[in-house]
Order: sequence, then C-alpha cells, then structure tokens
Amino acid sequence: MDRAMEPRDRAGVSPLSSFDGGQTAEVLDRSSADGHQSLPTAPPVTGDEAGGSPGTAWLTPWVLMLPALLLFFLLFVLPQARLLGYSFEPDPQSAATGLTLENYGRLFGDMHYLGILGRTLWMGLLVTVITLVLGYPMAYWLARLETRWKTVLLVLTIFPLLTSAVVRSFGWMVLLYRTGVVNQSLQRLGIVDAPLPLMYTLSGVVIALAEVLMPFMVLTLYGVIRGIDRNLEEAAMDLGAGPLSTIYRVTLPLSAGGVLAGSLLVFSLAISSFVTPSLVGGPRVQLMATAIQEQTVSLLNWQFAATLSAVLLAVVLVLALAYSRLVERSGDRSAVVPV
Amino acid sequence: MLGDSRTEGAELVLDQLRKAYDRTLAVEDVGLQVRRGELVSLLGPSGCGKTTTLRMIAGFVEPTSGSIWIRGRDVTRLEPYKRDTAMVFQNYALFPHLTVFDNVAFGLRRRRMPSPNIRSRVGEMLELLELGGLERRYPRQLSGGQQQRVAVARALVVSPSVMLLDEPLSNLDAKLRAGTRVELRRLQQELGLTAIFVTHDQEEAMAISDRIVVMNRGRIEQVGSARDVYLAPATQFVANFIGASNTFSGTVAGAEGDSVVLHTPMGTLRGPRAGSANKTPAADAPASLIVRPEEIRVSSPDVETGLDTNVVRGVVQVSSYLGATVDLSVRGATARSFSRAEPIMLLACTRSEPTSACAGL
Ligand SMILES: Nc1ncnc2c1ncn2[C@@H]1O[C@H](COP(=O)(O)OP(=O)(O)O)[C@@H](O)[C@H]1O
Ligand SMILES: [Mg+2]
Repeated sequence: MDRAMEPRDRAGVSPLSSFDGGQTAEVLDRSSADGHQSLPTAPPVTGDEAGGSPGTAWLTPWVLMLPALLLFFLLFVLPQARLLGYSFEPDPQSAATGLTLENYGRLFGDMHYLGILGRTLWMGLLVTVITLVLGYPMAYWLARLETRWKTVLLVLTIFPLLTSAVVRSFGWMVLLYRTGVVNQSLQRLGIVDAPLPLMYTLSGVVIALAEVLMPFMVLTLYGVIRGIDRNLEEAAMDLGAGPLSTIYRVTLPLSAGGVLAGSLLVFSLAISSFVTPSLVGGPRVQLMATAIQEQTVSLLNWQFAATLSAVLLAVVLVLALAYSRLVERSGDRSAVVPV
Repeated sequence: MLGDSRTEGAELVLDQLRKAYDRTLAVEDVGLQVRRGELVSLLGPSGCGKTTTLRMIAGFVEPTSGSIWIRGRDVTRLEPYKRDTAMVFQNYALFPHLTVFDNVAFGLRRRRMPSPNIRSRVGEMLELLELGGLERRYPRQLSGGQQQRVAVARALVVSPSVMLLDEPLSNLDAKLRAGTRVELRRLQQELGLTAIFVTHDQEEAMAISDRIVVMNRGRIEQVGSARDVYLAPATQFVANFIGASNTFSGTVAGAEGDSVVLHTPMGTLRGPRAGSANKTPAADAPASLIVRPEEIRVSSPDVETGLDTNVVRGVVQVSSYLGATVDLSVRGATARSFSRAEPIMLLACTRSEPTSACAGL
C-alpha cells in the first residue's frame, strides 16, 4: 500500500546512468518500482511525443503565468516596496535626512501608538475567538447535514459577503445605538437598567466585526470538517466515546488545520479592517487602520502611515509563517496538529 | 416483544428488523439469532442491505421497525457508544492522528481502564496480531495488511459481546486475503468471539462462517451452513448466487417418491425436490432443475452410459483447464456450463476440435 515504506531499489538503474540523462532513469525507475526487471534494451523515451520541441517545454508554465506574475509585481510588489521605503524616510516635521529609523522609534516609544497596536491585536484576538467559538458548531452542523436544503443554507452563509461591509456596518449602528434595537430589547426584558455603551466602543467593533468576518471562519472550517471521514467519528463512538468526547478527541484534532487557517484569516482581516471600526468605533476607538487613515488623509504624514502599515504587515507575516511551520511539522505525522 | 425462550442462549437476536429510506426499503423483516461464539456471515450482492443491517446492530442506523437484542437486552434505541459491539470498518477507519498504540488503546481509555492495565492489554493484543514493534507508528506508515490488523486489534481489545466486520478483507490484495481469512477465523474460534461478517464474496463466506445468511434485496433468502446453502439452496437466487450452477427449466411431468421428473428442452430429467418444491408439484407446473457442475459426468458420445434419463448431449464450446478441474462450456439448449474433477476422459478430444459431448447428470 504505502510506497514510501518500501525502500526503492535503485541498484538496477545505476549501471545505466551513462545511457542518457534523466528520462532514461525515470523510465527505468518506474518499471523497477513495479517490481519488473529493468531491461537496458528499452529505448529512452524522448520529449518528441509531447508535440512541441523538447528544449522549450519547461518554459510553458512560466509563459502561462506571465500575466499574473506581471500584475502581481506591478500591483503588489512595487507598491509594497515603495511603502516600506516610505517608512524609512523622515516625516515632514523631522529635521533628519536620508534613511532613518525615526518613525519606528516614534511608534515603539510612544504609549499612544503602542496602545493602538495593542488594542488592535486584542480586538483581532477577540474577534477570532468569537468567530471560532460560534462558527465551529455551525460549520460542523453544515458539514454533517444531509438534506436538500444544504445548498440553500450554504448560500445563506455566504450571503453576507455579497453585501458591502459599509451597509452591514450601518446596520450594526442601528442595532447598537443607545436607543437601538439591542439596548431597547435588553431594557424591556429587564436584563439591564441603563443602556449599554455599545456604539463607539471596542465591544461594538468586536461584535460587528465578528459578524462581518464570520463567513470566512465558517467556510474554512466547513471545508475541512467535510473532509473528515464520518467513519472515524463512528469508530470513536463504536469504541465507547460519547458525542462530545468524539468531537474533542477525533473531529477537533483532525480539523485543527482548519481552525488554524480560519483563525489566521479572520485575525488578519480583523486587524487590518477599516470600514467597520471607523463606522462603529468612530474616532473614540483608535485602531491601526483608522490611525493609518488619519495619518494619511488628515495629517498628511505618509511616512508614519507607512510605518504603521509595515508593522501591521509584519504581524500578519509572522503569524502566517508560524502557521505554515505548524502545518509542516504536523504534516510529518499525518495529523494536522499534535493533540 | 420477544419471549425469553427466543432470546435465551442467543448472543444477538434480530427480530423483524426493517429499514426504509426515502425511496428504498434497504432491509426488510430480517430475523436472526446468533449463538455465543458463532461466526455468521451476511452474504449477498452489492446493495442488498448487508451494511445497513450491520450498522443497525452497531447503532449507527436507527431501524424503522423491529428490535435488536444483545445478551438478552433490548438495545434497539440505545446509542452506539453504550452498545457492547465493536466494528471493523471496510476502510478500517483508523484514527490518522493517533499512533497504533493509541488507536488500540482508544476503547480501553473510554472505559476508564487504569493505564498500566491498558499498556499490558494493548501489548497483548498487538502481540496476538503480530503487530509488536509498530506501537509508535502512525496508520499511514503501515501497509494495508498491517492497517487491517490494527483495525481488528482495536475492536478485539474491548472484548465486545458481538464483533461486527464490514467486508474487512476487501481492501487487501488477493494473495493476502486468503491467509488473513484463515487467521481471522482462527482468532475468532480461539477467543470464542461472536461475530457478524459482511461480505459479497461467496467463497469467503463459505470459508469462514459457521452459518451464512444469504440476502437479496433487503430480505433473507436462506440461513444455513455453507453445506446447506450450497447443496440445498432454498431459492433460485441462492442457487445462482452461491457457486456455479446449471439451470434446466421445464414443466413437471410427474413425481416418483422423493424425486420429480421434468420435461425440458434438453430431454427428460429427474431430480430430488428442494426448496419450494417440498410439496408435490402439480403436473405441467413450471419448474427448474439445478445441477452443480461437479455433479456432472462427462464422456464422449460413443461411450455407452447405460443411462436412460438425465443424459444431455451437446457440443463443447470452451474448455478451460484450471489445474484441479477443467471447466467445459457445452452448447445445448439451456445448460450454462459443465465442469468436473480430474481426470477427464474427454480432455484429448476437446483439445483437438470441438466435439459433441454426452453428459450424465
Ligand atoms: N443513507 C442512505 N440513504 C438512502 N439509501 C440508502 C442509504 N444507505 C443505504 N441505502 C440504500 O439501501 C440499500 C442497501 O444498502 P447497503 O446496506 O449499503 O447494501 P450492501 O452493504 O449490501 O451493499 C441500497 O439500495 C442503498 O442504496
Ligand atoms: Mg456494504
């Protein structure tokens, strides 16, 4: 079953290595893996059968990728490089000239900006945890559902993505105001005496963002949970694990990759989101994205805006790297992540 | 409700079990009693309801009606994790994120066995299935045969009242399959296990079972030992599904004692009554005579057989030499094939050229 377990016998190939480079070796290798005697009489297969001239075949994928690569370079690599460049230039008020670390010094030396960074990361963490906790059961339920309504439900899950975040944020404003639906209901039900401060607070931003980003979490988890063989859950139950124990010991560990991927996605989107924080949070809730906007548009300090952006980007990059390391390491062991 | 007399001594009882899906009746009125230490096969073509029956016993599928009893207890509506069954899945369903050891220990841990006991019990089980030394491997690092044995060990280790096996050998290559089959049977007998074994391979079922349940379209066609279902098939379906057979259709000419005489396009044939023909059939009623290939003697037409009935003449069309036997396809009215054990007098004849043959039934 498992080819990797059987050390391939390459001995049959070596005496023929003088033959004709890679392709001969490949043909013989294939036959020896099948357990046949490799015969040196077999003529080497040449690239001619493929149609095109053999010398340029390797170019094809690159030619096909060229437009995308070009766009990627022009619209992503160049602007990012320019942005990074800005962050090392002195800002308009500075006396410094040439390249400088002044902007970074200002960011990391000022409690105000450190506060914004910390608040943003904290907000991202809260949003991630909320979408994960609420989204996992929903994704699980969707993945295991077997009715013809399934497609409808999936479309409903994606539906919010089809409306603009601006519209949805205005919706949340209506809900979260002092006199909004949420506060009125809570007061009528006698759960709270005074209206909760939800608009223009971090709580409001977290609530609204969790809703806005929920589809990303649910869809990511849905795909991964769908891929888990139902028989595994049945086997666990068959061996005496109750439903919760089964999810904890089988489904959850096997969907750990999806949990990581979904969390990374939601966290990155949350800390870099602008529309919802600026509408629901307003000027009183200072976050990275709103601070960047303020620096760029109001204060015209592009250098410092670039610095803030670079730090935000660095956070996401570090997380993405950590993620891929985790996945790689657990990939060695077949499971997505150790339990 | 079942009286005590019917559940007594039976490890597993299925009573009027039925499962209806939207459009199909997957299992229909299946009744069965399995004694302790017995291995019973569910045998039938794909889609006949074997897996559904097995999954109802395990608790993964809720029966539409009927009941399931394990050791005298009604478990029909009991959750799977409270049932004393253990299943070997067709695709093994080994936990990919757990080592061989943890896979096998899974059931014992759910039963809160102290860990030193788990260690020794799992060790024993791995020894028994010749998996020693593989404790720390992950399932994907094992060969197919090893994975299969881990699946068996994982089910065995919890000492279930009833072990359920859903085509456990179908993912092994042919060479491994026969050996594993014998090994499985030996283990089952040694441990006195009660087991339900699902398969669509009649040879497998015959080789491994105490009794075979032949199923077709959700219903039980016949329950009996391998010998019973082969030599005394209860229905035409069983006769055709188990082993090769020749069917001669015709009308009843009359009955003589235990045997019935048929008029067929191939001549007048005589045979014992079986299955639904237990009461004397009316004259001219349609009937079939079923003959196993190895019950047929073949000779060349010029040999005097001395028989007046049950002789069929035909032309050999295909002769397949299979070592122990030679299978002959003989053309003549409705007979499908004849075959017989070595030595065969006709052999030289059939090799040289197609010739007419004379078969004594
Ligand atoms: N979940 C299901 N929904 C609808 N029909 C099903 C389902 N499971 C099985 N069936 C139907 O029930 C019949 C018996 O299936 P199954 O028990 O798997 O057969 P076998 O194991 O003998 O091949 C088949 O016709 C199959 O299509
Ligand atoms: Mg099946």
